[in-house]
Amino acid sequence: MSNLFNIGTRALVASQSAINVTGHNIANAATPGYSRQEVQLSATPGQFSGAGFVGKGVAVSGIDRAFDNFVLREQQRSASQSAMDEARLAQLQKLNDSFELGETGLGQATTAFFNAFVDVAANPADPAARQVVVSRAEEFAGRVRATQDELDTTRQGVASDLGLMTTQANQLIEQIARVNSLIRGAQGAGQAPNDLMDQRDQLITELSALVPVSTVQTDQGGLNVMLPGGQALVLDGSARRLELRSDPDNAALHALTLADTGLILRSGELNGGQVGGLLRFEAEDLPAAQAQFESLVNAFTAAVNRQQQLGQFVAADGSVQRGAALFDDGGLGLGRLQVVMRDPLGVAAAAPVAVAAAATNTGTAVVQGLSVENWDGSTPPAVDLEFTGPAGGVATGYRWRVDGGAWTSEPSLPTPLTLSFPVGGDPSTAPTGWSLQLGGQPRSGDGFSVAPPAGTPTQQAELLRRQNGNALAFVGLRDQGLVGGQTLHDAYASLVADVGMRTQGAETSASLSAAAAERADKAREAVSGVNLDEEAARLIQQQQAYQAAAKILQVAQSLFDTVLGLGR
Amino acid sequence: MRLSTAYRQDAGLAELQRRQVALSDAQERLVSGKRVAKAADDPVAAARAERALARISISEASQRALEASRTSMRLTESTLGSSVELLQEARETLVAAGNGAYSDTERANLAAKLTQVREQLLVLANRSDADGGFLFDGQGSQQAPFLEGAGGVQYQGGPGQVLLPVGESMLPGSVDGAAGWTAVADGAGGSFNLFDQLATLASDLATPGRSSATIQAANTAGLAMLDRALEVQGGLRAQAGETLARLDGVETRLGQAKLDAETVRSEAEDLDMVQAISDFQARQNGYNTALQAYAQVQRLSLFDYLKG
Repeated sequence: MSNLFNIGTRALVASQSAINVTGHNIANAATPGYSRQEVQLSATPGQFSGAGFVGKGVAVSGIDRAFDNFVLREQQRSASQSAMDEARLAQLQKLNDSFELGETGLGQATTAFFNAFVDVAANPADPAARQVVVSRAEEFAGRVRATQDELDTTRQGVASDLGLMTTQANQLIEQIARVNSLIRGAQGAGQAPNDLMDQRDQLITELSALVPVSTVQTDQGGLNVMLPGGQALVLDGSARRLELRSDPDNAALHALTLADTGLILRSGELNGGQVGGLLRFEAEDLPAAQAQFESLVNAFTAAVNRQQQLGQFVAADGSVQRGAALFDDGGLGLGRLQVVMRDPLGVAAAAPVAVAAAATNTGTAVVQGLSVENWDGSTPPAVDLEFTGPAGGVATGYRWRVDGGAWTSEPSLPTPLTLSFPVGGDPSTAPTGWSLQLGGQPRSGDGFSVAPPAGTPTQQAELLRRQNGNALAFVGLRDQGLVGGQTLHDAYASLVADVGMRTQGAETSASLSAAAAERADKAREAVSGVNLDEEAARLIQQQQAYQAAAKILQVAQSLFDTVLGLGR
Repeated sequence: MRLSTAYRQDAGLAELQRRQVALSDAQERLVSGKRVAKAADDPVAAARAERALARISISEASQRALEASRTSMRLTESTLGSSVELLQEARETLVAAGNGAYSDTERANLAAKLTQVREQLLVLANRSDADGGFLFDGQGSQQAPFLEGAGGVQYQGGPGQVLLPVGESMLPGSVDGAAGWTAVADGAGGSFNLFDQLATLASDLATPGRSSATIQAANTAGLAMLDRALEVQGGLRAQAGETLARLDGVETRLGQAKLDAETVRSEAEDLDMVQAISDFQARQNGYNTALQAYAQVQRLSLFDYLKG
């Protein structure tokens, strides 16, 4: 009789535990990192009687959590990868937006600047056309400043995000160490503290979303957390601290360091986590875009400033002056790029020398262009060129003289017909160096002169107001390979395409790793997740078991009453 | 295989969000008409469109330079046409002056006519262009290039020709003024000033009491000079005409280059509307279905069927 009471009571207790566990599961159905728990029941061994063993009912042998270590590690690893790709992608998208396309882009600003010189060349004395050049220059400088500001903001944003993430990671590391100690304390009873273990796994999942970590289980339920390379972040109950410092090899970059050992982790060693993604963006993507941007802008401003100095203009007071640099950043970086020459008259549209064909030419030679390759600001020599050869026939050579001096003969003509000054020297280093491109066929006796404007200072100024030699040279810059052999607009197109391709590549990796992370999530949820329909079914089952156990007690009571009634 | 309730809920929501983003992207593309809104959408096409845009704006600038060159050449051509007519008139006057029956008075009248022709020629040589500058002196000069002074007419303009950048080539924006008027090549390696020569002719003609042999010799030399001037100005006029013809060809090429660049740009970044609309509708249907499925499936729960 008492055995039946015992069996009933144990069954009642067992079902109650089962109902509690199911209730716990239902309550935690939406708790992140929670693993479904199950009651483990076992039959209590029977007592021997002559007729065999009579069972003694049920016992709760333990409460297990549905857990698969491999599946969990895979989830943490793939989530870490996905967090890294996602963090890098978000920054790249910002970078992508910094380089605008089309009419509002930097490439178009350079083309528009050079195109403005087409109108100056067509009408050098028109102040409106010159004003357009200054305005285009201002617009270019404005776009450069805005782009550099955006790049700086992105860089600062990354640095401040990295700082926050390091703080966050340190908090997580401390919590993991604390939970580790709690688990060691609780483990003593021989049963695993399921919810604490879930909590620790969840903390590690959160940490690996920031920094890629691996774990090693120790005895008594402890867990060590390692950085890539094997240095421990958490050893049982003790935690180390991460610090964000600037990379000793490159002060512009950051690196993660272990505060007490001084270990340095750079982007290459952190292949996961948001910190890994941001460090990679900071070390690879941002500097590449910045370098391309700088080389483009510097090539443009250097070429424009130099071209200005190869030309001259007539100031408001009628004096003839050498062109001054248009752009300057005062050595403070592209974020401070300014147009320092804002006077429309100061646009050096005139070249120091102009070419004229002799009126008496009989051949078909025409001027195709005169490029001044160097000029130090001194008064250029007046150079006369005269073709030589059989009288009245096709020219076979030429002779030249400086400032009306003695003639020097050159026996042959170059092909194509480009005559440079100084003859036999290097035009790009001489005080005044130029090359004259001629087309057609000169005849013996035909002449060209390349000379500074003649006459009184007033006459010279009047001539220079209308001369467009240097404006033509500015237009020529538009089609020159100034940036590593590419025209400025092409170089900008390459920059935009490069950033675009990085972003596109990052998009692909992010969507691949997100899919992998999703699969791993699904696998973990299949093992550890709570299905409410399942729990509902179990609840009914356990309710029925409880009711049946209560019935056992009722029967035992009634049997006892029957026995008591025997005496009446 | 167990499906966890929370995961199913999250995954369902995430899928709905993904579809909503895709739908909104398709809508954005439809509204902007652009397939490539930022470089990451299609980096290669973005770079191609960017290069095409540069070619378009270069073509437009070249077109402006071409118009400037054309205006100037057209005016130059017609001005030189008028000048050639005036020179013919001067020639006829000079031929008439050779008439032995003419008296000093009649020759003085003819000299006055020559002076008049000379003045008209000076007006033509100083003709201004469309921009307020002068035809035979580059562009935008503030004072007339041919100045009548004590020593005759002097050329104040710049030497040579003004060139304008049209595409890769340079086209003339003016004609060398000196060559047409004050430094006319005489064909023997020297040059003469047309105005000064005309002035001399007129003053000689107005001088009374010259012998007929002197008159004859002066007239013959004058006629040769005028023929030479006619030849040179006719040549310059032909050059302007040739440039005008060449400009037409260049314009056609510029237009074609611009059209090509616009086609490249459009192909690179513009949206195929038909495909975009069908794409948008497919995504709309997809989102609609996903919403319905989500609403129906998430409602199902065993708890609903367990009464009391």
